[in-house]
Amino acid sequence: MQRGWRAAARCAALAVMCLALAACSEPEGSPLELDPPQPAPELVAQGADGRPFRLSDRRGQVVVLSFGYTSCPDVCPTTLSRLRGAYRSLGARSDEVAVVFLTVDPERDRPERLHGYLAAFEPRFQGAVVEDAQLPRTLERFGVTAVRRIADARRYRNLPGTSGEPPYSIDHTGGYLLIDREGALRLRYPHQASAEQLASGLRRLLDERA
Amino acid sequence: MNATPLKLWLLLLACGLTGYVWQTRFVPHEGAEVKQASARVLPNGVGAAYLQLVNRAGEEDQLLSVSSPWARAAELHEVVEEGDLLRMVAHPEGFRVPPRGNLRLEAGGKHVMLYGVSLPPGATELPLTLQLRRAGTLQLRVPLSALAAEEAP
Repeated sequence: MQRGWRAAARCAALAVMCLALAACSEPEGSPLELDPPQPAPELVAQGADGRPFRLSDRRGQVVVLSFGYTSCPDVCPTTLSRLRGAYRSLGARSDEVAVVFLTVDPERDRPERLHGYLAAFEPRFQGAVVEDAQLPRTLERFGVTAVRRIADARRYRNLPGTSGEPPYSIDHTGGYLLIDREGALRLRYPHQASAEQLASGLRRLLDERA
Repeated sequence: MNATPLKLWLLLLACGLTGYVWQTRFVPHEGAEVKQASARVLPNGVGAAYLQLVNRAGEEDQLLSVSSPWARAAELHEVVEEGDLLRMVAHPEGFRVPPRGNLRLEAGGKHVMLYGVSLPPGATELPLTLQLRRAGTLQLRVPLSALAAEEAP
């Protein structure tokens, strides 16, 4: 009877260890190191808070830039949840980080809407809106793609808020661009990156100048 | 000598109970079981639901559709990577569930897309109905993940 208990306990301990190890290993989500660092392109936009937005105004802070839209059901909320996790894990140092979300859907994501959406994740997140005419060139400078995809009109005819027009989704580049305090593009994380991985990258850039 | 194994078993039991508490309440149905369901709905009424569907039958099943009385649209979609582009692909035909196998709807992959969701104040669960070809109708109450503490004023 005692032998049975000990064997069971060993199996349990082994199982727990395996689970712990599995949780530790994160092969996906590692960043691409941009070497040599390149100055980040300027980004001039309308801030979601109603004020003009300039990326270069954030020199001195570490910036994490990501792209998406508020009608995105899965990818963008996951992106913002992870950003929130990373941001809050920095504690007081989060004041030295600017989290910027540029909408790829300025037609629907007007500043007020974008502001409300981001605030639901973290009130200090900064939204930026570049109008349709300038957006393709802006995205290209950051190496980002966004493509509007029109839904099958027959399925979506009765969807509210679309005034008869079929709604659309937007295929877009995922992931996170980390910019250092000097305004240089440094790290590019894929969209699979966890909050912990992002926080690690942010801490590294924060530590570069105490 | 037996104190150590006993503590391990108690720890495992505590973990198991915690896990059970977080499980979706579901109506057990012959041939199908739902695990680890959750939904995330944003203040703009857009959201997603995720779950694991277990097919206990020896024949393939198919998740045909999803609906919720609180959502104007609930559809099955999948995030697909094409290079560095993330696409959301609609699957009006639904998703197959292999015999004695699982279908996982998870962040970054297959998921239920929710549009036009109106949550009653204080709602902690979302009613969700799954339509399966073989197993029939599954009625769920899916726990809602909380976002930030308060909405912005």
